[in-house]
Amino acid sequence: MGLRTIHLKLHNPSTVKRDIINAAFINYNNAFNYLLKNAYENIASIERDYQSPRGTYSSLTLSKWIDRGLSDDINKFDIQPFKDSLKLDIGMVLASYFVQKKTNPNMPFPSFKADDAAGQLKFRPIYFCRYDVKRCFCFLYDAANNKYFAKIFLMNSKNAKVRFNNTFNRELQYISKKQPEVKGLKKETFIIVPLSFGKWQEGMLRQAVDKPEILRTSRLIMKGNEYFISLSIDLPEDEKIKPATYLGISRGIKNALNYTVADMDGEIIDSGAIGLEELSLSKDLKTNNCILANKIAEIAINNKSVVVLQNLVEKGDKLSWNEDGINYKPIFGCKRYNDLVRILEYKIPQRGLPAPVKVSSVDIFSRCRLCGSNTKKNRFSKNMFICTTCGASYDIDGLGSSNLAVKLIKYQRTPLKIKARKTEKGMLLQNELIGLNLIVPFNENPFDKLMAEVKRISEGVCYDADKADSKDVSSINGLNSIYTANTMINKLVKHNFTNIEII
Amino acid sequence: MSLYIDVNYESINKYKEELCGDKVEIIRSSDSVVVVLADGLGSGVKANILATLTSKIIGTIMSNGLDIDEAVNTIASTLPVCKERKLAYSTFSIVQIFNDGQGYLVEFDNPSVIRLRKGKPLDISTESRVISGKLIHESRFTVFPEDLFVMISDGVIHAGIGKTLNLGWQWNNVCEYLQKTYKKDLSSKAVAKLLVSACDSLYSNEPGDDTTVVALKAKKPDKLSLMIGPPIDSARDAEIVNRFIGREGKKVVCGGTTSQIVSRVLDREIKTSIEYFNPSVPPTAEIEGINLTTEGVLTLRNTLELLKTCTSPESTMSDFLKLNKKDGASKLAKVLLEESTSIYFFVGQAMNPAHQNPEFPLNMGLKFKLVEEIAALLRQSGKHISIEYC
Repeated sequence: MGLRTIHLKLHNPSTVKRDIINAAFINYNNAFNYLLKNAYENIASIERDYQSPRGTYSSLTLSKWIDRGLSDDINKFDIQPFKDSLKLDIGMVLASYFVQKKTNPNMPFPSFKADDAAGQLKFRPIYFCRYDVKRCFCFLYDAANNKYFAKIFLMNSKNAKVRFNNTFNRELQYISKKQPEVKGLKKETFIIVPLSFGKWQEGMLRQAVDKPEILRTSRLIMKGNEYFISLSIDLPEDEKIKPATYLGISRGIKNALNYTVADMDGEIIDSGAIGLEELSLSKDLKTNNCILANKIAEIAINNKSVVVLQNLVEKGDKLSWNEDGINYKPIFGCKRYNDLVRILEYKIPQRGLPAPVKVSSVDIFSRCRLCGSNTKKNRFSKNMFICTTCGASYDIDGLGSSNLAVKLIKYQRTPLKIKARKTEKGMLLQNELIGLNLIVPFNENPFDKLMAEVKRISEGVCYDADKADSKDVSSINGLNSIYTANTMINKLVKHNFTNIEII
Repeated sequence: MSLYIDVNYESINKYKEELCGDKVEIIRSSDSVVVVLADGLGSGVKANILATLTSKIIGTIMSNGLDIDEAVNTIASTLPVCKERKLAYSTFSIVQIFNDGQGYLVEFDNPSVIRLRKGKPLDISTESRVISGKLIHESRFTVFPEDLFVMISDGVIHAGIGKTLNLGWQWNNVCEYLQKTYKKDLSSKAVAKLLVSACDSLYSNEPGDDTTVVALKAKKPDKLSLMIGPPIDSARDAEIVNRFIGREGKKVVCGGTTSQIVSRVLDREIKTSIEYFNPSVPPTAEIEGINLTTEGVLTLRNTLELLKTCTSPESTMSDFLKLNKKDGASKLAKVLLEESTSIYFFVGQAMNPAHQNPEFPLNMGLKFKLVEEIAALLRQSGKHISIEYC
């Protein structure tokens, strides 16, 4: 994580610079199509020869398919400044094609155009595979005016432009570790264009000034008459935050989303609704989801929370309600909630918190937070929950998020299930996980016997943990099982053997 | 038909009020039980006085065999008049159930009594008449085992108004909730506690009105015999055990030595049962024909604690839910409190050798004390208790 993409606009390039950029796009696209056409004609041999022994494909390996002859061939398109990048771009396209072909044998080969790209309105972005002050692209910084510039290598030496005056009217510095002097050349294969962007992007560029190594690859994109640099930037993750609470985020009928913050003991610290104000900010669903995700991340940061989300992929949450012939549905459908989950999955770790956890949500609107009773009879109306076992009542929307917030705590408290069967010799107690297989004669105290046996097993498990392959540890196989068994035994001892459920 | 009427009630005071304006009077006589729920005008001290007078007067008059006219006339002429409202007013509901199954209901301005038979609502058709200017609804009916009557004050149907529910929950909602929560073995105490808990929760723990629920559950008498401790004269072991086993109803044996005696006399094997692990409560055992076999004093001590908690006015629904645990003490408390109407204790007076150990924290005196405390609590709950020391 930490790799982000930001878009920076080339600010009002002059006509001359526009012509240079346009020419570069035509050259790049012609060369790309030429290579792709060649690849298509040789696809079988490429697929066979460039596959790794494990059956995988790498972009770098596939880029080597372009041999010296073919490499010389494409010089006719004047693509020398970005030839390496172009090869890698082709490698990435082919790798992606081969991977998809594995799951879908009818996968069509990527489309390419045989005609000259000159008349096209839409161009493939030009890929720059490295950040470098002497090739591909780099940035310049005018510290006095806090301005940023892009230096993009778009021409070969043949097409290089002559500079009549090699001094700049502002003091520029390379955003680079070495920071060589910025000076004009008599013949230049690059253009320097000012950049425009928002505050968010500026914050990242500011970090790049101090740590240039975070600048990675980029693509030059043409959108109508405007040009953008799509920059990959490897920002360091925020400082790791040690979680102190759980934050449950559930969808709702009254509110789009509901949140509950619970401490590590399951006590509710804070709760509320998110959505109604945020949803009115933008008509674009994606933008709205991003706004909501930011809001959730903010709550998570403020409370140092592990974010717990609904898993709505396979099973639903039975939140819809039919009353007087009207079917009430959640404001957020499954798809929209899942879209939000995907955003949170990268936004939350970026802020230094653990990745969100998705849990089953089949019972979150029917399980009593107080006594744990889970029955659909507990749902009293569209918005009301009244427990039929203990009488506790909750607003349905809030109940969902509060049940999510304590779900992980409940998982931790899950009792160890022990099978108990009567046999002729006595009571047979079994648990495969910890390797328990104990017969307690009817006249003996099973609790004492069980404690003694678990102690014996725990000594055996600990001893064998280092030599899992060579020792017999009853039904426990492998280190993972031993780790789990140890964890379970530790939980048993910690809870003084009260967390046992006899089945 | 002889019926046992399990009656219990629960009240919560209006938020910040020290006294409850609802009052319940339960009067048991040899042939009937009379239950009066009175709701005094307003809240606090005045309401409490009105409700107390009303319930006491009606209860006394009705249980002495006089009719409702007499009771209402007396109330009309004796209740103090409120200075502010110039009214002497208390609503009330009366349910009288005779042991032979005849029932009598009187209502004045209280929400109607809810009647469920086997969990399904059953209408009570009433006739109306005016007594001393008050419109009284009366009904006579026959009561069957498993009939449940729930008397509620208006605080119940106002629960949640303007807070969790816009219009509160209506009488129909309360009836629906009772149907949803109905379980055959749920005691009247649990029913009342559950409904009041729901109201309290709907009020967000700040009740806007005094709230009272009285539950009456008609049952066939459930008898239970409990044997604890070996008889003082071992020669009488067989006689005592045979009398114990010959009694009608459920059987419970408490104590390791006692269960061995029962096992020996009946020639039935004792098998340790494992259903639940609780380090503070020894495991239970199984003897064919005995409903529950537990360890002795440790289990009894835990049972007493559970009974104290559940019968205390401060008990919560979660205290009641603890009775559903599977350890010996919880099982014993449940069978005593919820599944029996008449309990016969055989208390053996023999010295247990294990108790002679000076390190053993309990002594014989404590065992008797435990039994007496348990019996007292059960009597308070309306159970018929007999103790035989042997």
